[in-house]
Amino acid sequence: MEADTIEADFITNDLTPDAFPASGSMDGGSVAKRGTLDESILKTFKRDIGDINSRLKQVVYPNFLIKRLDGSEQDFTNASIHCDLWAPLTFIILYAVSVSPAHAKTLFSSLFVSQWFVLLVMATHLRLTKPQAKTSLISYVSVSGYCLFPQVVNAVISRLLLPLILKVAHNSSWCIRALVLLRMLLMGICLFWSVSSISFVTKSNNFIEVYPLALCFFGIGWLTVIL
Amino acid sequence: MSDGLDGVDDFGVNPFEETLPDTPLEEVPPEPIRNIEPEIAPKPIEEERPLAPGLLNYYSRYFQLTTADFRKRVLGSLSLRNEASPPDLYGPLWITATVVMSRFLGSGLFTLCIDGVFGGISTEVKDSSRQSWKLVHSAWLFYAYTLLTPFIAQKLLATNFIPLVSTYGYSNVTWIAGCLLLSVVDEFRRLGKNFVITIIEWVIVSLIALKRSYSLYNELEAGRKSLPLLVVDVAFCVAAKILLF
Repeated sequence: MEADTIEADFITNDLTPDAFPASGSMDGGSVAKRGTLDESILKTFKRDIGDINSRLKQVVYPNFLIKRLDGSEQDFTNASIHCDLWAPLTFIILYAVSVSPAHAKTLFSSLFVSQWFVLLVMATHLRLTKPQAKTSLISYVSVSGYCLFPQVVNAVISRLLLPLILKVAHNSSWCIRALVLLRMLLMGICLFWSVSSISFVTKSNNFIEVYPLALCFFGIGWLTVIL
Repeated sequence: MSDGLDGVDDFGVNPFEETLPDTPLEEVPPEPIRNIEPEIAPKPIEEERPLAPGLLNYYSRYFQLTTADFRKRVLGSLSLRNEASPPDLYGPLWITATVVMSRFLGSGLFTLCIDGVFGGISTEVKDSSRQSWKLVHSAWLFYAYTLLTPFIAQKLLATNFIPLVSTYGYSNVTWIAGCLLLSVVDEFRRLGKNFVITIIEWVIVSLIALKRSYSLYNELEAGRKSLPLLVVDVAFCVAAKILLF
């Protein structure tokens, strides 16, 4: 009976990060950690924030520039396979809260919906221009959502922190001038940051691929200046 | 039988054994073979996999264009020549998005510069709803016109839909500069000379309509059949002026 048994030549490990990418981490160890119902809420939050942070380190934080110069791209090869929507949701809520002023209740919902729409547009554009890439639409939404992080930084600084400084300075005309100029400068820096991140992660190099992404990020950034 | 040579080994040296010379052979560098190019391993040709069926995969063929192609088509739509080029949907979608963004950017930027930077006045509250509504109006107006008018044109001219969308989309390039220019002119209303500003704006819109009509007439290549479409295009320009400026 043993002679009839066909043994496999090799063993395939299906629990690789490529097969089932764990949220935010590229090591297979965290796959086993997920699904723990008996852990505290605080622990769950900490783990999810850690996952988001590790993902941000991978794609958005400025250190990716140093890694790009080193040529060590092996950490980023699976960037587009990853798919979670927790970070985009968090970033969109943070952005909408920061940009919508206290008296404009309807603006929050408009911004919330429009940001998701913009992410979907960016993902559809990437999917249409790269039909041979093995990346799903929802993965592109996730990647675009992570690259929204610089715009959140822009919104928090220019809508929450800078007006506080303005209040301390008693709303003088020179302070308003400085505020407007600082907002525009910050928007430019964060726009460059977002566009470099997304073009690096999605390997978009030419004008045709990058321009629509830049236009979408410009629209998001311009809202923080103008509203 | 003895030969008298007993004890002498006739085969002290094996005559069949190869012997190496005491002095090593002088090493001669190999002479390069002339007129023969070094062999290069052929690069594996990456064959494009056929795409799986699906809406996005089907329409992705209209988004495969190079930067040079795109530049050529944009310049072709700006010039008055009729240059035949394969249709795409990238231009219609993103040129129209640029028009919407130029309207949004134009009105906000000049208000911000005049009030915020030069005047030192906070413009956040009074302008935010106006900016939002202009963005919404420009988005639905331009996208509806660019994507719906080809349906009418398709019925009238009995041609394909995608080339018509491409033609209408690229003709929106004129509106990018038009929106920025009209936004600048619109800011001069604060000087109080509304009548003069309105006349200037109508002149600019008329020039845009004229340029678009001429380009469309050339590119549609339908002669008198395209006249109703030109009337619709002029009506669109008037609607854009009334709603957006």
